[in-house]
Amino acid sequence: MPREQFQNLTEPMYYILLALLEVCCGVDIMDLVEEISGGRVHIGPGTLYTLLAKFEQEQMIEETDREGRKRWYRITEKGKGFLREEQGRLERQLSDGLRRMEGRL
Amino acid sequence: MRRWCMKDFQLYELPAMEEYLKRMAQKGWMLEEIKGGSWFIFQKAEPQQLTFSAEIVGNMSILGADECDEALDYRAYCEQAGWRFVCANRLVQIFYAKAGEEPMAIETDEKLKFDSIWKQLRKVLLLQLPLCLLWGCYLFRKPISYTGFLENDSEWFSRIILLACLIFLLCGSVRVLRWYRKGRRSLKKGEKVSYYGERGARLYKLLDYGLLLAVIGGFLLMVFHDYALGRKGTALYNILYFLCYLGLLLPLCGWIRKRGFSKSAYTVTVILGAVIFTFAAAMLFMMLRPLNEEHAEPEIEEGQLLTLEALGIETENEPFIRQGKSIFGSMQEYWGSQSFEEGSCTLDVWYYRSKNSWLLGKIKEEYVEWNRKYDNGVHILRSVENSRDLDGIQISHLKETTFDVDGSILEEEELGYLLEKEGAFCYLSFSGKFELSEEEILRKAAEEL
Repeated sequence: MPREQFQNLTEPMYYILLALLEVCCGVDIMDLVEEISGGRVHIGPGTLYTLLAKFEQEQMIEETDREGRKRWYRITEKGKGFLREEQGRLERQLSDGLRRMEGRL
Repeated sequence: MRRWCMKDFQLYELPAMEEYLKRMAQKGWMLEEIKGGSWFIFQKAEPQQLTFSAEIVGNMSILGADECDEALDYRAYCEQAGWRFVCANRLVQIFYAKAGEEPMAIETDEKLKFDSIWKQLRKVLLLQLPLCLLWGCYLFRKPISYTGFLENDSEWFSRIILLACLIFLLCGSVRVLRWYRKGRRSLKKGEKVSYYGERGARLYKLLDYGLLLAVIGGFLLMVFHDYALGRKGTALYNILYFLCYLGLLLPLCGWIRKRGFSKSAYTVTVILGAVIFTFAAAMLFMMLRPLNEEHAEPEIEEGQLLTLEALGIETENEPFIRQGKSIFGSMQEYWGSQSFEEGSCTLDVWYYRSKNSWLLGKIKEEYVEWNRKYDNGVHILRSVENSRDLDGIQISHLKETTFDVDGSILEEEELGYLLEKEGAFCYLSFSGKFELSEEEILRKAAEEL
């Protein structure tokens, strides 16, 4: 998958990567995303499956364990790089917004 | 108790499928499996209030097996989230939840879902495009000869079938593109993508089934027509070929569903599969062809064709005879010759009978009323002259004039006679010594018209 697709991570993508800072399996990721976002972001199982497959293909996450159809994943260094880039972008976006709103720009 | 229902939902009509399954469950029919892509098999159950979710596995090959790894993983994720798996129809996975369970929606990212569906639909469209072009070229090609429409029914029938198939494919493609355009616009505005509901799907299906009936009805009409005309071999050939074709196609589809192909093998598989299938179909065609050729010619009533024998000449040479009947009319072409010690005689006679004046005009244009200009500038014109009436039939001399580049006449040739009446015409040419006079031969030819 081309890197451009991950230039701006969507909200579900961002939270899934955040959740995978610790080793998690499918349902745990869904619960963890809800917990991290304070119940604001929900990720359906189909969406989660598709995004995990994309992340794995791009080596942004790696499989750590498998039990039947249940798989555990964790974020890779490449994935963390994307996450940091996204956080930097969001911070810049927020500070630009604040400065403009406060009339400093 | 089981109930079979024929339904066909496209990937952009999945909410319609969900509505339909919900309604059936309310009536006490629970989906058990889907066979052949369109046969929904229901099992009698207690009426229940269920929520269905039909979703596609975005990363699965369009030729993937029902039980491929991607599908099994997808089901496992959904089941862990509280959904119950019902069955799969290729890429589409069907789940349900009981009232009060309310698990998380399977797809929560509108854009991701839209992209997954479009990715699969795009593949189908790309496969359909060359097929549409091929069929379009065949459909709109000029017939090799308009007499083919009178000789048998396959010329018009094959065009009707292709036209129906082409309309079907084009309507489907337009519908996909409209849905894609609307979906893109909705996503840009941050709105939900709209999918066709059950009502919209039902309207489109009416067209689907109408075209399907046209194809089946046309096929049966052709078979019965061949049978009624005495072309029993052709009728049997068409039925067997159709059944054998299905016999090839259905197991192939079943095999793909069971075994499937990986994504990487997709293109090679499609091309190779198409070649093998076409080859097998061609082999079948060749094997069954003798059946078609045997008794392929209809029994034309005796005396309808003017022959050398009918003019009192015993012939040793095999004459050329081409004759046929179709729903538009009939045609007969005869050419015979016989050599004698003192010379020879030949008879060339073509009959074309049809109530369709446009078709008759086209055949006349093709064979009799030529007006052709060649690359070297030479121009050939066939024209009729000295017309007269013989018992209600118009008889004219047919003349062919060849003009040079400067318009001067290079050659003039008498070709024979043109006999015409409403709904039929005949071209007649004879040379040599006959016992009958020219007028008597003309009268005999006119009697058969």
